[in-house]
Amino acid sequence: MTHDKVKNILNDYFDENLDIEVDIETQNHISECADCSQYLYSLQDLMNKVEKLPRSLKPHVDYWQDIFHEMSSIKTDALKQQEEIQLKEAGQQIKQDDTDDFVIEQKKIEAEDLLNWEKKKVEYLTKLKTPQVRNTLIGVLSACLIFFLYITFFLKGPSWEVKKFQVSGSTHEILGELPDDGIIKSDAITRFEIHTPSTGVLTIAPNSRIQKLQTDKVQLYAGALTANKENATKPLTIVVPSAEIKDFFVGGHYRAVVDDNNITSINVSDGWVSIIFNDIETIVLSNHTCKIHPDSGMGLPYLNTSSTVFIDAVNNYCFQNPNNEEALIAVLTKAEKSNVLTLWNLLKRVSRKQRDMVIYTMFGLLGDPPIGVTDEGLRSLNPEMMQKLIEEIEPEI
Amino acid sequence: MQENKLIKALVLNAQLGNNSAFEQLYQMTVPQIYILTVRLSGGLTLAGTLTKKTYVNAWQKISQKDEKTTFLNWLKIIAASTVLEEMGRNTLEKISSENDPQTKENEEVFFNQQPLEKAIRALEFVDRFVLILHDLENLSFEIINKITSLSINDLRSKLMRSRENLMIIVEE
Repeated sequence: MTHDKVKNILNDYFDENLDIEVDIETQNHISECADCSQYLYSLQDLMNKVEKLPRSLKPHVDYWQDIFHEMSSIKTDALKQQEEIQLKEAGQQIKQDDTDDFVIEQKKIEAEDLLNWEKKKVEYLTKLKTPQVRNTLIGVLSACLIFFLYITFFLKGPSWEVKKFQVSGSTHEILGELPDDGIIKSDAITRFEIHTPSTGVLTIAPNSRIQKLQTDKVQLYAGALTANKENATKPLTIVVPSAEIKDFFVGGHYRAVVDDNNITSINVSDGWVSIIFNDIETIVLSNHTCKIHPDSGMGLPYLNTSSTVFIDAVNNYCFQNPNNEEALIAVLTKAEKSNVLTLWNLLKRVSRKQRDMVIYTMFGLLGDPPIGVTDEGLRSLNPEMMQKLIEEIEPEI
Repeated sequence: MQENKLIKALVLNAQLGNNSAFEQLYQMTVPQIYILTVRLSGGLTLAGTLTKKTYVNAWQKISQKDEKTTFLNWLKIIAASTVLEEMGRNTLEKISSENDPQTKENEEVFFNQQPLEKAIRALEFVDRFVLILHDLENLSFEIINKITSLSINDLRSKLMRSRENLMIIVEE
């Protein structure tokens, strides 16, 4: 096949739209042609960028009232058909039996009632648009807003009690309450314990610095913070460089460490933890570790007992060669059954085409997909199926 | 792709004339339809008008919705057809001139935040239309052919042209 001919079908080759024979011929040409390889590389790069574009945008105004108003004045095809059938039936019945007049009359009354009700609804909605009603509504909403602001800013949230410990001893000194925006810094020989009323107990290791942001949010600037959520009733958010860590389900035990290069490492010993980085959620289950490099990106969680080759392949894919297909294949070929959580998280990071490889590997290791989970659903990252799958994965690892 | 059971039930109710069911379907899908009309039309005010028309058209045709297509994909097809229809009527230019300053500002933010978004907007209308439906909304050439009446070969060459234009911009 000539170069020009191949160049014309490279997009179809990329979209996997070619017959198998043409596909093989094209592949052979590409392996020898730098120009076509470069074209494919650029196309892949473009598609990676396209994949990352948002797929939803909330309008600044709600259009429903306008749509509803227009809908009220039109009849759907179904309603038109239904009315025609009803008219025909009514006509036949009148001919057959005059005593059915009463039933028809009843139907008419019901239909009129329905119509009146719909009209009333439209009138009510129109009234809502009049200045008087609108102003009253604005008044009520403003009062609610003022009340909300009062609660947020003038009523103090539950207090955080701080205890200071010497590293070598078990005795402690009670330092009192930590105010909002309060900072705690530990030196080489002290550690702190913060008892929060609803988000559990936080332990600040030596040489660490944290700041309370809200009643349920804390920023870790340096050092280590352990969250013990045994008696917690509310989730806690830990802000670290470039990401936010949160309990997926309330409860559990985990530790976050920020080192001198601002690299964060999260180790979960119990429970489910969610990490949000660039709007993508990563879920870390117990006995897993996950790293975040603020510059090179978000790591994938891996089981603490994973083989070194697997951990190296994961780190290479996440931090040295992101989006590189060879690096991705290295992760997939080195994965074992106990690594399926890594693959589950990987599904959200790869392109649609690469997702097939991850799904294939995952079910190669796990066996058949659970009931209610399909390849097609996972390919489009159906949230219900993703949730069902991770629930099935948890007992397997 | 399998349809979510709740959506199936809501569609069934809407087909029987239930407005509230249709409202729930609207609330569940409007962010996806709005962004599609924003990209296809290249403007936020235009997109608002087109989104409204899409749902009104969908309400009129809801009885024709079969189980082969998911509700969201069915709506996307209606949205794309609505955009084409309005383009034919030349009403879009009139609407775009009605932009208020706030909408104008939001529009600048949306299209200038992402260089790729800006580059897509700068494509010729038909090229942009094909690229968005195929590469962003994952609609097949067969479906796009039904919407636009352009031959599949024509669609392929338009997609190739728009991708090549974008590749040049992305590489810059």
